[in-house]
Amino acid sequence: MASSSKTEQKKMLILKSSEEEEFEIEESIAVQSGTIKNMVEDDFTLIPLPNVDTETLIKIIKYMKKHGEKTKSNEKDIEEFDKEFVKKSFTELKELVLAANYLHITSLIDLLCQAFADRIKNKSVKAIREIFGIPNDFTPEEEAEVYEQHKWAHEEGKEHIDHSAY
Amino acid sequence: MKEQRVDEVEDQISKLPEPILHHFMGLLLAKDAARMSTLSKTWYAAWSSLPYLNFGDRFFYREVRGRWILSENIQELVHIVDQTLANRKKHKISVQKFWLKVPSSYRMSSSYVHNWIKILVTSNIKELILKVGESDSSFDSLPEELFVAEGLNILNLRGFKLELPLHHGIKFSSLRNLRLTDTYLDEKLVQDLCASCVCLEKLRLSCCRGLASLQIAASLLKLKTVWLCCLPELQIVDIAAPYLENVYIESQLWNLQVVKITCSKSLKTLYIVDVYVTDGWLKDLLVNQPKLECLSLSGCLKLQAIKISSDRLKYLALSWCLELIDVELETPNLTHFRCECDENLPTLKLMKASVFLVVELEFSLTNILDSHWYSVLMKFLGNFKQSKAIKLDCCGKNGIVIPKHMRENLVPPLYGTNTNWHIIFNTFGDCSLMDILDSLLWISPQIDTLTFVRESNLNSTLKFIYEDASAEGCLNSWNELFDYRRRKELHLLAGDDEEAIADIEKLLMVSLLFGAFKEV
Repeated sequence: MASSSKTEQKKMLILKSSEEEEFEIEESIAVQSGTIKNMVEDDFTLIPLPNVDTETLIKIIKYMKKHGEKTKSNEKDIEEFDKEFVKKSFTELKELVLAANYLHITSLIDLLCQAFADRIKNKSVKAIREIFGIPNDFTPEEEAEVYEQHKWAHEEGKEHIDHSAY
Repeated sequence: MKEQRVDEVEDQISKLPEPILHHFMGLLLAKDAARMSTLSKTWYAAWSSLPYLNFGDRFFYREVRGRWILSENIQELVHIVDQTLANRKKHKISVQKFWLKVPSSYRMSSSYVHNWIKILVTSNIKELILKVGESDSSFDSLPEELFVAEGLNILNLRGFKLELPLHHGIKFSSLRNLRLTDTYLDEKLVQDLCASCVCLEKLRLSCCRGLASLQIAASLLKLKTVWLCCLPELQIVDIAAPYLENVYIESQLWNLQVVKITCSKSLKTLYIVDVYVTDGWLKDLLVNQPKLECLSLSGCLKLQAIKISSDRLKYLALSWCLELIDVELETPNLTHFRCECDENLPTLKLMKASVFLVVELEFSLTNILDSHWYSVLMKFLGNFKQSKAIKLDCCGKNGIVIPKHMRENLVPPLYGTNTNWHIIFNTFGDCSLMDILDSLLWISPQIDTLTFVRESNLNSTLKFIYEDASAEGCLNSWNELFDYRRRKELHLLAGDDEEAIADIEKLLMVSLLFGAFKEV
């Protein structure tokens, strides 16, 4: 296990992605993640994260660093950062929400949920299925019944239904 | 890159804990969330147990040729709401959030709404948004049961009449956020609300009738924000909540006569619109509220002289205080100053402000401008030598274009400083971009950047980079600009406004002598 290095009196941790790449991060910032916080309390300084790939981990670290320096005056700055942060493909957002859930970063989960909600608002069921990769485990009869029950929600009306999965 | 296939191995989203799925679905309208029930059994279960029902503002309405009108099948829609609530009751899911806009009681019987409210109160609802669709001068009634919703945190009502329950008091002991629009309520009800809503943090009243006087009691210890907008009968406001931080008061046609704010030095934000506050009132307020960071006074037609000395003030806006003559500011941390007025520009003495100060000026000029205006304007602009940026929106005639013959009697106010100008161009009337630039170069010879914004978000920035930093020689005109060709570079930053850039380019291309001219 790597030993912690005390840089400027700030305790550092090492996060290891599923692809075995290591990233150094201040403990005070990393503990925004409930999961990491628990491991720190158990005296870990090298934190293996087998469920998070490198690409996603880099983004998460970026998020935590930005939100770690939250003060009263840079609220707007952080808002702008969040807005830009969610401008990613659905694939990337999916990886992020799974990682955020695994790492228990509540604010990031909220941000990502909102991003998903905003983007799938007018999407057709088919498009949503593709985006999230959800297999249909209904029998045709079951599916028809569920559809009937919620017919009111499926009406097209004058609203534009978006069938694209992007 | 991973392939996107609809494959059971890939579907990890559905395996997220149900609270997260619920949180996500709770951000959607009920219609969108309900549709997801056909995706898979997991999502069917997630919808069926979803405690957040956002039927929304459009549930009873249809869009026809760009207008929203009431749907014909009200009964069907009522039935859907009934069913949805009944299903949850059957499976013991307590509805936490409910949002719906309903037709008014003469188009749809109010008994449905009353019934839903009773069910929701029994379900221990936390957030309730209920609006009446048609905004007319009538108010719909509410069932008494609403007032015993002890778990309610957020209540947003529109178009109802609030009447004191006969059989019990108001029991909103958990209410944190109360928003009433187009509501009828009287002073007694407000009194009772103040007594019972001990957790209230935010209060917002818009277009409410029935109140001539509003007393917000000192018992509201948690109250931080009060927002009062256009209460047509309101004449007196007395806010005694001791830890108030944000107050927004917008009167209707200057009806509001008396505004009393007696919190204990906690006020941070104050916005006043169309109230006849006096110089004395403002002076007292500033003394009593030293923590004020944000002050905006709009349409305060009785103000004549303002003097502010404050370490905390960061934002100041003065709009349409048409009788204002003198403004004196000693505000070392002021980062934002906004002034909106007509030809009667007040005299400004900016004794201290932050070097990050951004100034926003909006002038509505209708009369012909004389040398007096330009003289006053120059003195006004002279205050901003240390400022970071000046934004100008000049409606009407050539407010910023100083006629050449008048320049002889004036001193360029921003000589020697590297100002950043930001001009909103499309409202300049009959003068051209060249005229404006010419005038600006006279006003502010060592100009640093000039951004101009034309309609539909076209904007472009010119950055002036001076190779030698000395203030030797200033640019009195575009002609002199060319003379300094060897020393200066002009960078045209990428902009959307191709027309304007083309104008400038043409002028600059006049002499290849100009040398280094880069398009970035």
